[in-house]
Amino acid sequence: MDVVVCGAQKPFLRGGAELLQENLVAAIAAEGHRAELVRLPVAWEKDRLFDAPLAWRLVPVDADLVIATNFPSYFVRHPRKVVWLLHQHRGAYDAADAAWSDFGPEDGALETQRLLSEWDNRALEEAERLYTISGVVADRLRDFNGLAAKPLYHPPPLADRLRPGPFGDYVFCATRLDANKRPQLVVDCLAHTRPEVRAVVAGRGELLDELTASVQGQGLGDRVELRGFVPDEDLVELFAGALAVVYAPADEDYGYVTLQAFLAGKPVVTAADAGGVLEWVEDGVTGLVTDGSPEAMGAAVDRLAGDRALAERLGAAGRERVKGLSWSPVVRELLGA
Amino acid sequence: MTLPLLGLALERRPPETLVPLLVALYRWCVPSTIEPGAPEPAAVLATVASAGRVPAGRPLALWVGSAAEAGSPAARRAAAIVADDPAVVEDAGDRGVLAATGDHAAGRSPVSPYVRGRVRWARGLPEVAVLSQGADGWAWPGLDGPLADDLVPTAMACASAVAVTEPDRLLEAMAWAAPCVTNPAAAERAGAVDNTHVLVGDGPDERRRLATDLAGDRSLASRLSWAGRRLVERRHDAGRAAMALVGLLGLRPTLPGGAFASARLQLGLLGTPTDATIAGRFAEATAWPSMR
Repeated sequence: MDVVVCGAQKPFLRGGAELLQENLVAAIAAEGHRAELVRLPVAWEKDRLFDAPLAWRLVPVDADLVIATNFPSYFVRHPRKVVWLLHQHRGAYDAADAAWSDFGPEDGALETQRLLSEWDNRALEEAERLYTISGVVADRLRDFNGLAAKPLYHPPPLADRLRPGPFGDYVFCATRLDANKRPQLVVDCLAHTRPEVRAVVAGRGELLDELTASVQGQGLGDRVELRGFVPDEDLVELFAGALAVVYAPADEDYGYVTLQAFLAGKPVVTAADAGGVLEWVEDGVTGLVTDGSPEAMGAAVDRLAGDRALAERLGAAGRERVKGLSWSPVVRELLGA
Repeated sequence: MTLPLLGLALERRPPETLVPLLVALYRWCVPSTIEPGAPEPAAVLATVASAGRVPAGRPLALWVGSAAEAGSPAARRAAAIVADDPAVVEDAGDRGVLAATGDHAAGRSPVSPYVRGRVRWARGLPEVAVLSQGADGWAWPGLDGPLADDLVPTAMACASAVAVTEPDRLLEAMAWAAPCVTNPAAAERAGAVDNTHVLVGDGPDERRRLATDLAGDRSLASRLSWAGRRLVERRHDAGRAAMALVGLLGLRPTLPGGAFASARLQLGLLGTPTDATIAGRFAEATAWPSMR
């Protein structure tokens, strides 16, 4: 079967969506099919929001089946369109009140939200099957658009390389340093843990300078390492040697970091509003769920630092939880095989 | 711009129920009886008995008067099945087009419950607002008397839920994608199914209670909102039926390059108002400097 995977491209930006699309293409090829990734640029400001969706309506995509992933690639027209939804344009929906969203109370913004809802419904409704990457994304689709979708879970990058290791003296977090990932919490919570606990943060992003200043300002220079970009082999080692993973993004769509932590046998400390992370982290079973305050996050980390057996038990339960994740059933479901 | 020709092979005068659809088709094509020597049509709308006269290779829309005709060989090769019986259309799946006689979706844009909430927030309206039709008129929260009739469409477009019993007003509210509660008679007239397109309640008290509950149930409200709107489009709007038929037959107005016509159709199928920003942006993008 010839399959085209469709995705949006935000020039000069690379994250989980791009990795998912590339890994999906590889997984389809591994099942014996031909697969190609097609991306079109997207603009997220509301004045240009409909340009890319209209372009997808007009682009000829010749294939036996297309799999659309994120906004606005699901506007592609094809008699056999399957949607595996990473996310819609969240700035117009659940994140409309976020600082980065440009949707306010003015008439133009309201009409844009109205029209986008209508376009989304019509385009998503065309799909012969509608999946999401997580229950959180399916819930949003149900609540905002009135559409039903089935969550389809997949393994994270490095799934075949991550492994458990000794429980060290640091908590780890690999994330983009952007506001919605809330990396600040990793730094802030450390002020509420015993002094021998350290934190290592891997990743780049717009908050790097702010985080660096915060580390210095709180006198945590000798306990917090901001590593920036970290190669894959080092990431595997950092996961393997951590005491726990601290990961508390705001209403995350899926959250590879959680799954990567579990594959490395580490418990995850998170917040009750972390979205898709909570589909995996069960309080007291595979990690610790807090109210998201630095004090509560710090107390959770402290608890694990003082009770290594608990950390090991939660980590092992997490590893058990994700052991069945594999690309093969995902591809078969998407292709309707 | 040249509109494509839609050949008609209907044997006799068009059935009454087909006329509104034919009128609505004039926006996209020119329906015209097939005559000897006339230009070749881009597609044909035919009855089962006339389907044999359709020129080879032309997309066929088949007017089907009964379930038996829907099983005919002509129906199997047709790109579209057009009927005035909702059951026949339902059986035809994606190829089915109902010859709707109303225009209830026209001029009424669907407003999802989420956007309704944003509108009420932006306008300082009540966080939860149920619009209900009673013997004395329309009730709106905070008003001592009935809501003025000319404000009812606006209220329908931003209410959390609408309780309505008059059949045409039910269709109007559903066209605005309002989550609706109604009585069994109006639901039946609309072809609406309880808990699929609307909620059905027997008496005013029950309908008020259902509407209040519906206003507080985000997922149910969203589901009924969109399902209700789609029901109006599929069953009660000739304009939407015409657009669907044009899409199934692949009819395109002719213009150099054809891109504008294709985009116009796509914008229409997505429900885009003609004054939407994207329409202007597309026109600007295709106004080549060399053609100015």
